[in-house]
Amino acid sequence: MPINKNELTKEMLTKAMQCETVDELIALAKTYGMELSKEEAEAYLAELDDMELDGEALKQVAGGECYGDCACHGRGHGPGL
Amino acid sequence: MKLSAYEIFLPLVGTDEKQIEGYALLVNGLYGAVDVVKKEDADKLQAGDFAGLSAALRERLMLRGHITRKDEAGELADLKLLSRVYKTVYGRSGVGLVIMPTYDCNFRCPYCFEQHRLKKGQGWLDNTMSDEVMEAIFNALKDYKARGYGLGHCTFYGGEPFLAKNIAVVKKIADKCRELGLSMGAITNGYDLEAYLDFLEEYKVGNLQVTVDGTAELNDRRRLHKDGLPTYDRILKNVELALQRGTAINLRVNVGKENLHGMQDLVDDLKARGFIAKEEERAKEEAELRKTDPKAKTQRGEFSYYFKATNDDAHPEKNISEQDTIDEMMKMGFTAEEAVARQSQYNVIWDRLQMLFKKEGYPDFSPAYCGAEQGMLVVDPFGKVYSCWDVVGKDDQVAGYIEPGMHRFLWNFSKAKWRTRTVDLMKACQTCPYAFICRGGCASRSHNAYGDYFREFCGEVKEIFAFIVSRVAGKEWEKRCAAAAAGETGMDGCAEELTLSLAGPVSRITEAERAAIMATTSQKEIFDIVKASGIFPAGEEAVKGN
Repeated sequence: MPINKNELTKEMLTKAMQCETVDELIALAKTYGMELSKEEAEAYLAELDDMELDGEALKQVAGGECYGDCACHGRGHGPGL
Repeated sequence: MKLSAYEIFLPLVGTDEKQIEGYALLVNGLYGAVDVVKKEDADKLQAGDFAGLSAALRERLMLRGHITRKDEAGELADLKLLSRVYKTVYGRSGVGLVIMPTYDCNFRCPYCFEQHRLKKGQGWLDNTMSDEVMEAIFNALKDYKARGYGLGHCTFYGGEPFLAKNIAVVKKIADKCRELGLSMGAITNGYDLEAYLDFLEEYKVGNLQVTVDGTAELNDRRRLHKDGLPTYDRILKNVELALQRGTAINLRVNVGKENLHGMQDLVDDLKARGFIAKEEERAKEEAELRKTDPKAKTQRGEFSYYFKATNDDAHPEKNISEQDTIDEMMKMGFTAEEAVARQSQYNVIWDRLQMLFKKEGYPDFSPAYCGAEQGMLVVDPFGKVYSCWDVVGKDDQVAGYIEPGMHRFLWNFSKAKWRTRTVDLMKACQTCPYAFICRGGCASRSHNAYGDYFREFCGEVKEIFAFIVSRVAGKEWEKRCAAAAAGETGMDGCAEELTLSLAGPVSRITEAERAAIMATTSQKEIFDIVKASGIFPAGEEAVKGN
């Protein structure tokens, strides 16, 4: 997927963030001269979604996970099992 | 019936560093199953002689995923299923916040991966985060919290985040973090830390990563002050002062050919300065306190240190391997386990495996190497957002941005590109036995090696994994055999299964549920299906009615 940051204006990105479906976003990206895969479109739209899991469910999911550490800079995620 | 495409065979290595004769280790990289088998059975497996195994062993290995009736496409479908579950449920549940007050730095380390920003000149470097940009960033973070995302911590980063001249800006950011209830840490060179001692205590900054690269002159050549001033003594004095204020310090040592043989001198100097002895005392005191209060902390912060091979891609002739640091530590007299504990690319795997041996949870199945492919947001002083802290300042890698007056980050498609840099989507990784172990490797290393952030980087993961697993499993095996010999436990088949296996929960997902998982983007829908399979840690809700 080619990315041309300099040509994506604030207005264009605002429009992209208003898309509601994967197909809509893929079509819009095409008008910008960009190809988005289905997975990329899903990932983009997911960034805009609210969390669906409630507090109780999150407790089951979130224990022990960190989102920001990188094994290269400190202890945290990276290779493992 | 066939051997899983994700099967890894390894020797068992005892605490005496000798191979444990007569036994071998099976690791299934897809389901995370780790098993000890007799060497003769491992040989039969590798030869495809399944009929030569005992019925009980064959059944056990099939249940755990080492032997399978699935073809390559069938196992790949399991990898994609697990990856989708992980990305949708775990990968989207939180934000890993990293804030840069400035790009400026008082050091000019020759191997710094942010050298590109120096071309922009000191005028640009002098910029710090404005109040207006700060306001917009924290409004966007409040929005994340309001939408249900986990956000618990902020890491200060740079350049050098703790420059003495910028303390006012840093305090303003810390005030905002405190309003949101965020704990704080930082990656700092430690040179100006004396100016931040009251700040560390007031804002309860929990931990700092500080780097030295050897003692005295050796350090000062690599951790180079921009005005050529010596740095080593001042950094370590500041580390002691910060520890006294209750902040934990993790001392990182970047090792290349130049300072590989200086590791001993550094450890000796840390001992001579009292860091090691004081940490041993502190740990004893904490253990005593925790007999009555499990969360008790000592006044003095925890001190630790670790080594990491430098990735100076501009000068690869100066680099060493991660294993070189382990070998050097073992020459210095550390045991393999002690060396692993002091190496950042090894200790995570060692610690994780030891946890898995307790069989209280399933092996990890993240398809993402690190936070860069998940929820990490690295926000620079101008409000630009990056997915990875190695690419800050690179205009072509901006993933999003925020401007004064905005209340949400504006994302460009680069964000999605980083989110989809996962092993289920990278062709080279899909059928690799190390997919869920390596997780695609570091994007930044991939760019340095191949000019492409979005392809795999294997690095030394196979060698590192083999070194660790053989030893940590060997140690566990010796423990179990000793317990059995003392009559404390038996050595039945369960003793040979060192971890749980995801093969079980995956087999409990019906075809209709599998199709639903692969089609839906609903986090809750996927969570509800998978919860019933028993993958998540057991809780009242998980156990009831399932």
